[in-house]
Amino acid sequence: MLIAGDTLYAGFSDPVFDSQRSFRAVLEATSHPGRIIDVGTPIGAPPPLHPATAAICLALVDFETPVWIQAATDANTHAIENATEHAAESLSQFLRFHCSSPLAADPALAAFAVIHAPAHMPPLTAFSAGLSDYPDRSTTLLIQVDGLSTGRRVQLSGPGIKHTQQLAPSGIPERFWTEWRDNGALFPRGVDVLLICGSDIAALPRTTRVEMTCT
Amino acid sequence: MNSPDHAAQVVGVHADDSAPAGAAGTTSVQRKGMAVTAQGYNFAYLDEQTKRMIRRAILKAVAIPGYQVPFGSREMPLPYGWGTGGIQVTAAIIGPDDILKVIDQGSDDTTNAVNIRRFFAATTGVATTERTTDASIIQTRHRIPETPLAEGQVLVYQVPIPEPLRWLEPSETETRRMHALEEYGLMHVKLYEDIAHYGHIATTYDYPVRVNGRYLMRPSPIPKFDNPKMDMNPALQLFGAGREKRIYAVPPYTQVESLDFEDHPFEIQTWDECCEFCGSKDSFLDEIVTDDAGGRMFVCSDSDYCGQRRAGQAHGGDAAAAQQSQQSPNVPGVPGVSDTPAAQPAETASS
Repeated sequence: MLIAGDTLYAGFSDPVFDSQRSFRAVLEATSHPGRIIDVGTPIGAPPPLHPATAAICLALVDFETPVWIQAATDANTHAIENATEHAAESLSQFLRFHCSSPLAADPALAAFAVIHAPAHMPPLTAFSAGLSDYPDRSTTLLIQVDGLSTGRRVQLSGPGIKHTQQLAPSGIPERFWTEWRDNGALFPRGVDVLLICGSDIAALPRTTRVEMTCT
Repeated sequence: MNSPDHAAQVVGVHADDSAPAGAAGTTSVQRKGMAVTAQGYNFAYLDEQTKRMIRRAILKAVAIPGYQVPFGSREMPLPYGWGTGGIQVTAAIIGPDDILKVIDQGSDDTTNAVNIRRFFAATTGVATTERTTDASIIQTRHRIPETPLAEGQVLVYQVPIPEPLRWLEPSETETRRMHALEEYGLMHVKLYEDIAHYGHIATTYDYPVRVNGRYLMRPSPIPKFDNPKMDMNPALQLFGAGREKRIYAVPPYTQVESLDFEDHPFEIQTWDECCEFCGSKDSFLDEIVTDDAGGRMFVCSDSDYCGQRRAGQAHGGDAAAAQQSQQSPNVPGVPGVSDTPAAQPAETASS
């Protein structure tokens, strides 16, 4: 249902190669946690979606993957409802049209979660951490942040990182890092996170350990 | 020849050949100036929905190092056991800018490698190479190249049996539970029984490893000689098992430890001989029987590594090694190692 005055944004102009390029960016980011990777696929994204979020959704989401969209279906975020209600609607319209993806009402049932207001996001435990027999059945969170190098610096280590890796995401609540440590303790269960700003992404797979730095 | 039908039509076509007029149907490919000769196929053969499904599995595999992610393996234009798992992984990641190398037991020239290289040349038009250092994606059956891999490269393994506990516990439900509970004592018992029978661990290929201190993983039937190369490798390592429908991964810079005991530490194979062609004493050697009278010689399993060394020697590079090569005795009847890949049982046919 198209809201009057709304625009349905176009998908990839070249679905095969744009999908491949976007996926390789996510694969490179996941292989090197904390490294900032430019997805670099030109695409118009319905606000509040960042171009990289839109590209990743088009590349990875389809009818097999229920998507949870923040605010559209979350009763706990009434405070920010007015600003995001309309945004969430155009976003879900975009995903349903281009990806044919079902929308998950419960974040625990989602394969992907799109979060555009991380300050108001539910705790990481609200999402699916998978089963101990099938830890791959967990939610991948696409979290849009204000910046990847302008916030509080954290030091990352773990698989994919030779020594240590610095990352400074801004616009992410402090509680996220506590929840991230608890998420790591669940291994091999746990959620995986992609931090997104503009066309840049940085991955936090569940194996990545985070230390807060004092600078 | 077991080459897929349409790939067989493009024998000898390389990506650097000029684009044939027949590629008109694949406009987006043609725009990039590449020669795609297989008509009526999507880029890299698989449809986009299949690629998305495989890509999601790959991402979860990288996020959970060593864990086998189930995926909906498709029928490919060649039988299970000929590298369908590796092909599907490669097809899901490959892009127009990639440079592909395919090896089978270390060699670029063997049937499986040639077929798969031609398959991707025909269905993607990407450039192919035999140089390890030039490749962005290396699909391999049963070897890791001798030349150290670099960051940004992807090594795709063809895996016949992904489950390390399979011959010890036939039930998938049980082995899955054992992984969940990190219950790997059975594998240590198996290795211990080797020691009890033979005095040493007799497992020489597909030697079990622990990835990042957690999951027990089968490295595909690479010789245990290659196991140390997996540890903290800067390249991304992806494993595809087509028949068994599993994908798993080792991210770059990830600890990969071969199982052993304090009093029986892990050791790799060594040879008294050196390569007949290039004189290498450090690479994995294949033993080749040359006649009916017990004559045999040892040559590098990695054809690119051997070729590069010989090219260097021809330019007066490593004269000492060349001389050593000439002096290399062709001793009959004394195999330096009893477990060359030729001795592998039929179960190791790659998938």
